[in-house]
Amino acid sequence: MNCWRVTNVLAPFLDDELPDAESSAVASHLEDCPACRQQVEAVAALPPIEAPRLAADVEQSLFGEFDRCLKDRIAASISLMEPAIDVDAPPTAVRRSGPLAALLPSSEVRLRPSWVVAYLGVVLMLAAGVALNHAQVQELEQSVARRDSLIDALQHQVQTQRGFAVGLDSSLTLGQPLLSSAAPGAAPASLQLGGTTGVLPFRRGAFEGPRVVH
Amino acid sequence: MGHPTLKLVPETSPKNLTEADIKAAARNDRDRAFDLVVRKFRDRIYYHALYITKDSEEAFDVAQDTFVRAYHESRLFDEGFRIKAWLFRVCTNRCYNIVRDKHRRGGILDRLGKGNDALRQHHKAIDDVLAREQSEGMAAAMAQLSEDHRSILILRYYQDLSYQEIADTLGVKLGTVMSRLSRAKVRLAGVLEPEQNA
Repeated sequence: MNCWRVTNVLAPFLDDELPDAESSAVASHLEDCPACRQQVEAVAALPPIEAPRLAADVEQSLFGEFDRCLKDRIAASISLMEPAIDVDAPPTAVRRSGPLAALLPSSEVRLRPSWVVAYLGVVLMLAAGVALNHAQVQELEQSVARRDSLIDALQHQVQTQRGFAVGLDSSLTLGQPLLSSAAPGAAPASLQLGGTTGVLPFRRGAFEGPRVVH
Repeated sequence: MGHPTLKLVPETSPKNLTEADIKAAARNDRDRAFDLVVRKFRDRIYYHALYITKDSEEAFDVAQDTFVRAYHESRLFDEGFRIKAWLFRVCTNRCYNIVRDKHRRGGILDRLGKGNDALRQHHKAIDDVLAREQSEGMAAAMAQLSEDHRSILILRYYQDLSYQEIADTLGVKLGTVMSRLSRAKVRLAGVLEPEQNA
C-alpha cells in the first residue's frame, strides 16, 4: 500500500466499504505515514453533506403539479406516437373538382382486367425487344470472330512464305535453276510454289523483313 | 401557494417498495406499476436535477422528461433492469446537457414559452431560496468542484446511492467510483479548510 493508493480508497475506507484485507493495509499504512494520516483526518472531519430540501407543504404543492403535468405529457407523447393514418381502413375515393372533374376517371383504386392485360403486353414487348437485341449482338460477335480468324490465317500464310524466301536469299540468283547439279540441258527441277514452277516468283528487293544471320 | 422555503428535513420518501415489488405489479398492470415508479422516485429525480441545474424550472422539466422516457422504455420492468440507476443516469445526462447548453446560450433563451405563470413564480421562489443556500457553507464549497466531483458527491450524499448504484448510474467501474469519490472529498476538504481557518 502506498500514498497514492490510500488517496484513492480514502472514501470507501472511511465508509467501511473496503474489503477487510485492504482496509487493514490502509490502517497499517496510516500508522507509518503522517501525511496520509493528516489527509484522512481532514476528510473525516468534513461536516455532514446533507441535501437541501423544500418544506413539506411546498413539496406537496410542487409534486401535485408535477403529477398533473406528467400525465399530460405522457398523453401527448402517446398521441404523437400513434400512426396518423389508419392503414387498415378501406381506401376512400378522392373527390375531384373543377371543370375537368367529369372527364377524369375516379381516383378510387381498382384493379381492372384491361389494365392488367395492357401492362402484361407492354412487359412482353419489352422482353421481346431485349431478347432480339441480344441475338443480334451475338451474331455480330460471331461475325467479327470469323473475320479475325481469317485475318490470322492470312497473316500466317504470308509469314511462312516470307521465311522461305529469306532462307533462299543468300544462295539463289533470280532466273537460275534451283538445282545447279542438274545436267546441262535438262529441264530444271521443279519447285512447287503456289502451283508455279522452278523459278522464284519474288523479286529480291521486295522483302523488308530483318535479315537472317547464319 | 405559499413561498417555498428550503430547510434540511429528513428523507421523507415513503417508498418502502422495492424494485422487485414494482416489477411484480407490472406483470398485472403496467400503468399501475409505472405509477409506483413515479411515486417512489419522483422527488429524488426532481431534487437531483435541481442540485445539478440549480434551476427549479429546468429541474422540473428534466424530471418530467425522464419519466416520459421511462414510460416508453420497454425494458423498464424486465428482470435485472435497474430502474433507479437508469432514472438517475438519464436525469444526470440530461441535466449536464442543459447546463452545458446554458453556458453556450448565456441563459438568454431560457425562459421562453415554458410553463404557466403560477408555476413559474413558484420555480422562481425556489431558485431564490436555493441561491441563498448555495452561497454559503457546504453547498458553496461543492459549487467550486469539478462537474465529476460534484456529481458523485450529490449521488452519494444527497441521493444516498450505494457505490454500486453510483457505478451503474455513471456507467463506470466500482474502483472508479471509489477513487473519484475519495479525490472529491479530499478536494472538498481543501476548499473548506481556508474557510474554517479564517
